[in-house]
Amino acid sequence: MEWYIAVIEAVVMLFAWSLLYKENPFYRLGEHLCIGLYLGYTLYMGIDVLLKRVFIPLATGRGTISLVLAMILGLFFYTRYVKPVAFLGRWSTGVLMGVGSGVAVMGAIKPMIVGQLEQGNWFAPGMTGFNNFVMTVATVSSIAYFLFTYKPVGWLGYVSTLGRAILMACFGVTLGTFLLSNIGFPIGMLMKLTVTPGSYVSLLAVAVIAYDVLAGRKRVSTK
Amino acid sequence: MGAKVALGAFPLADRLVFLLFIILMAIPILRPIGLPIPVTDVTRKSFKLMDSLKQGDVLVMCFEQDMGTYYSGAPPDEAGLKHAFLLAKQRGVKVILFGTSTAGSKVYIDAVLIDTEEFWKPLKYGEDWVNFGWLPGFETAMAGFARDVQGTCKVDVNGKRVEELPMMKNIKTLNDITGIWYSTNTNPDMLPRQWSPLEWKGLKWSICQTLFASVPWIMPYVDKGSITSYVADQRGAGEYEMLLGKLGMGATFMDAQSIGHLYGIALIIIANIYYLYTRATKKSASKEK
Repeated sequence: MEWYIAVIEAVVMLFAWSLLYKENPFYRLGEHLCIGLYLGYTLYMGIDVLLKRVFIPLATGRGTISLVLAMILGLFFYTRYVKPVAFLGRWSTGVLMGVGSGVAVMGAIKPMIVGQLEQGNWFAPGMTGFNNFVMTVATVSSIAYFLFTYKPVGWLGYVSTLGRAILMACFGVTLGTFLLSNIGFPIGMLMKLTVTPGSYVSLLAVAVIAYDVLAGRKRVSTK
Repeated sequence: MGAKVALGAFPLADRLVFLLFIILMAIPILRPIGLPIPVTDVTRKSFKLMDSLKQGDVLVMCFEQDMGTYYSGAPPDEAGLKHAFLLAKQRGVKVILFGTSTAGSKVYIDAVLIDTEEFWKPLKYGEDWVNFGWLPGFETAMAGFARDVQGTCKVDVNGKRVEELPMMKNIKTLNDITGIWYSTNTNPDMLPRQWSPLEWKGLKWSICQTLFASVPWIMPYVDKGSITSYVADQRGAGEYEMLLGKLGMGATFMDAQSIGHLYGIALIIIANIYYLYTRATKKSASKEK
């Protein structure tokens, strides 16, 4: 990697991290840079895709009716700026939502609904049997917790309480693993900040913070 | 213009927690400890699946990642990519790359390709591997790819038409694909929904490369076979690199990961002790009143 790219990378990373010290103009600059560049890049990619997949094929006589239809539906989105024809934009939204949910639901039935209802053998060898048993108990009790038709009293109350405990354990595991997963992000960044030329940028940042701390103390003592 | 929200400064205790975290993470990066990396069964299974590819087999590597998750996603993805390119060179496996979720997936693919340059440089583009960049549409694009590969991947990242890429000639549907490496930083549900080996008889297996946090999420799919195996985060990357014999980012980050996790657990314990202590003192104070 070119040295100046590594320096820019380290500078922008430290701009972002500087919030951990306190809010400052460098952090704001990094924040605006990040959002601006991301949106700019997304716009560029959108135009690039339209050019390669729609306009060039249409201009070179390789366009199809479905491509023209998709383009018209896409243009309908912009009719919301013209009040008399704004309703056309709803057609595009309708098609987009209909296709999206249709595709998702069609694929979901087997792996997400039918597949998960098939419970494993409780008497399978090793830990598999025990795991299958726990899974069945967890599924039934979790569903029982969301059963609102009957008041959870008696045996249903116990099952429902077990379901709540299982849900809490599940959310705890998710939160814990999510937090520990996030450790991975700063580790990679630290890798850049601790090797040259990133390390020089880090030292400069430490010096700036040290100066600010000392200057802050001075300000407090003069007051 | 939206109102500017003042963030101010974090409390001193929070800043100390972060400072200590940075120092602890920096130590093993500067001076590696060399903690052992035991290989889990699931990573070994993923490696074996990839290694089972033979001449003429087609591997799809789909990256639903962005630069925001680069340091979490790239280590395992680069290990997988290196393996795929080695197989392309040694056995004639065909590799297809793309992403469908965000425009950023194209930058992500570019970034991992820069890091793995020495592995794809000896290969012939269009014959051994191909990069379609960003295929907009996310799940719709995935569904389209499964049913009509040529119609969904009309042009590659360089604007070359799919008809001009020799390796794509006989790839029509997902049944012509042997294996899938699906890398995601968010929702893994799309993989079993659209590209399940149980639904597509030609597709032999699918591997999901995901965050640690998503492992409990995908486990029901792995149990039922909708996803064949998975590689989890930097830990999975370290293990995969050990099996591949090509150490990279994953192995480098493992020491810092282990220390980071220990630090996280220590913080949880300390915070809970502090919470119980303050609760007990508040109770005793109210009793005295």
